[in-house]
Amino acid sequence: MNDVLKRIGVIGAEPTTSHIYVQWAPLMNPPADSPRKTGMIITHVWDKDRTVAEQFARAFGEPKVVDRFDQMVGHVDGVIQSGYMASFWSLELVRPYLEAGIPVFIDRPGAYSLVRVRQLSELAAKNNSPLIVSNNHENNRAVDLLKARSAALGPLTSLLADSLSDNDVRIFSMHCIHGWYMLFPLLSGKVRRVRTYLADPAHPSPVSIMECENDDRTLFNAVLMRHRNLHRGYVKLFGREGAYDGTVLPPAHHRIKRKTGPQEVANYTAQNLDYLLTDFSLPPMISFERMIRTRRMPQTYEQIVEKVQVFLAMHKSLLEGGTVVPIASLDPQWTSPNPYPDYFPPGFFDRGRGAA
Amino acid sequence: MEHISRRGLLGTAAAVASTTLANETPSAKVRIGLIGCPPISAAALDRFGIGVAYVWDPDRSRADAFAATSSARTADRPEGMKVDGVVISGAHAFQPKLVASYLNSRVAVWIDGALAPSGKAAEDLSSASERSGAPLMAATKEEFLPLTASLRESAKVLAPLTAAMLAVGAPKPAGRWSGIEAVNLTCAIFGTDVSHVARIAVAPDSVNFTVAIRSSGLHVIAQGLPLSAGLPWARLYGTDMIDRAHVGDAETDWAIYTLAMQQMFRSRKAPQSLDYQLAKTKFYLASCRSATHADGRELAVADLPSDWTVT
Repeated sequence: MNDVLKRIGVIGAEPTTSHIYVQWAPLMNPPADSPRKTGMIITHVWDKDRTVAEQFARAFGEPKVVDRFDQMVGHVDGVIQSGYMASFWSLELVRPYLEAGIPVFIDRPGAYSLVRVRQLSELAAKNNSPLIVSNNHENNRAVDLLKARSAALGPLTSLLADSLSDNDVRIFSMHCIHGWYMLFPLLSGKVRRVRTYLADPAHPSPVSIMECENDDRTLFNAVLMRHRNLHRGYVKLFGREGAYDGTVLPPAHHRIKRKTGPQEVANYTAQNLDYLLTDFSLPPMISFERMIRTRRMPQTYEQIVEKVQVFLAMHKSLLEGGTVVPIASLDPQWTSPNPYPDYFPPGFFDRGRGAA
Repeated sequence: MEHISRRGLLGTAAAVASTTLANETPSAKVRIGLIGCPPISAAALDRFGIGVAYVWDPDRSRADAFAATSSARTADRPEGMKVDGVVISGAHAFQPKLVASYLNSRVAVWIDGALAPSGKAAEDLSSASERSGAPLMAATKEEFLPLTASLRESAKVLAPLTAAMLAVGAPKPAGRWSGIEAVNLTCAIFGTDVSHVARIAVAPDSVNFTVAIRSSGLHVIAQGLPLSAGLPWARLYGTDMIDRAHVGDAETDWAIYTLAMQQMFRSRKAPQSLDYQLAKTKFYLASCRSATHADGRELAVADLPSDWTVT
């Protein structure tokens, strides 16, 4: 069967934080009694903590645990970097694979500075390596539909959107970023300046306002509100000729929260989990598999840079108290703070490519 | 999502109008003066029992054209019309002296727009209205739409609300002065208990403007957009979420709005209290000040200097 399934290597396998464990691995390595939903299978896994990788392997059909993050070169057809706390070092972690021409999927944000995302895209381009930097929201059917319909709206006059944000604003790069990646297919090439501010210091829901420019040079403001929603995201598009809206993962299918002891925890019913996986988590994996098989990227290297650049400008604005940040003049060296600066010990990437 | 059908909305307007006018006779019409030509015909006003006696507009040809379709006479100046009430719209809304002259003559005043260019001027007009007994009203038509009443009820059902997004048609070009429609709609749904406001737009010459409002744990984003179908539109977040869009046309909207004017002129009682109008005026002025003096940053409405004037 492996001759038809594309072999995937996993970098970063934390069970509680990385998307790979809860959402993407079950789609590639499903339980024996579940139908396959992709033509990919995870064959190798690496984590900084070998016991974490071994736990992942036990949960998903015993893919081979490797000692170093570069040891999967030559053994896999594609690599997913989904390490949550390792995301700041995505460039270092995927470098061996990009150099080997292997397709790579990096879970958001991809990079924490403009200079680093340029290095990432240039490295991939130099080696003709297909690359995706994305998340679940961006690949949703609601976004696809809005993108298809937006041409019929004429020049846009407004975009109002929300996205789920129930995490600490201090990890803006990992959570508040989701809504922007959701909007990127609709606003690519349009964003000129951004402002992000915290509407309520007691609530982790920063608002981003984007000055956008249509092809006819008319300007409009797009607003992204992060909110403790009952769904993952919502977009309302207004144009000269009408309006459309779309919901990413409607609330009826979202996770159910229940009281367990003193804490309210998120839980999934079997039905809702299946919906979550197929409607929300599967599209990016299908996009990844298509890229592996065709070696054609869903977005260009330039778009990957642009997407990260706008995220950086948003975060910079927030940290500067809501200043307006022009996208084009963003300091290439400006770096979004690493939420987990001590995750890798000093010199980790200097000694034999990350021996655990 | 709930919908108000086109048939339903038009039916509502017609039913309200016919009910109100059923007991009226043509002789009971109120005589008003128009200062600035409205986007509604004299015939339509007449149907609602409003007889236009005088019309004035800085563009005299517009006033003449309006008068030609009615029994109204073109006035040479905006002051001194001998009428029961005046409707002030357009750029003339920001003329406190003109408004005060009518109030002091016990003439009812309806301003289509903002009450005054400063908090102090607004308070002075409020005092003049109280002294003379002449009703004073500053409003925009969104406040009277069935959709707005429906959203107000939904806000109660979904309480406690945490956030909302609104979009409203704004006929004037986006700019530092614009936004009155968004402010008025926000107040009509959520009340005037607004602590902070920001004109957050980063593109001041864009086709829309954006106001962020915060108070008591509620955060509202309100946008004014070029006029188009489906506005106003709102999405409320509370114990559940709803979003609703207006279904109707400009003619019907103006009919509903005109009916509210007629009722004030007849009853000599404004549909909103002066305190309410002062509160929404200060809210609006603070949003203007955010744009002109704070680079779009959030301002506390309570900190608005009473003599600060929109220029």
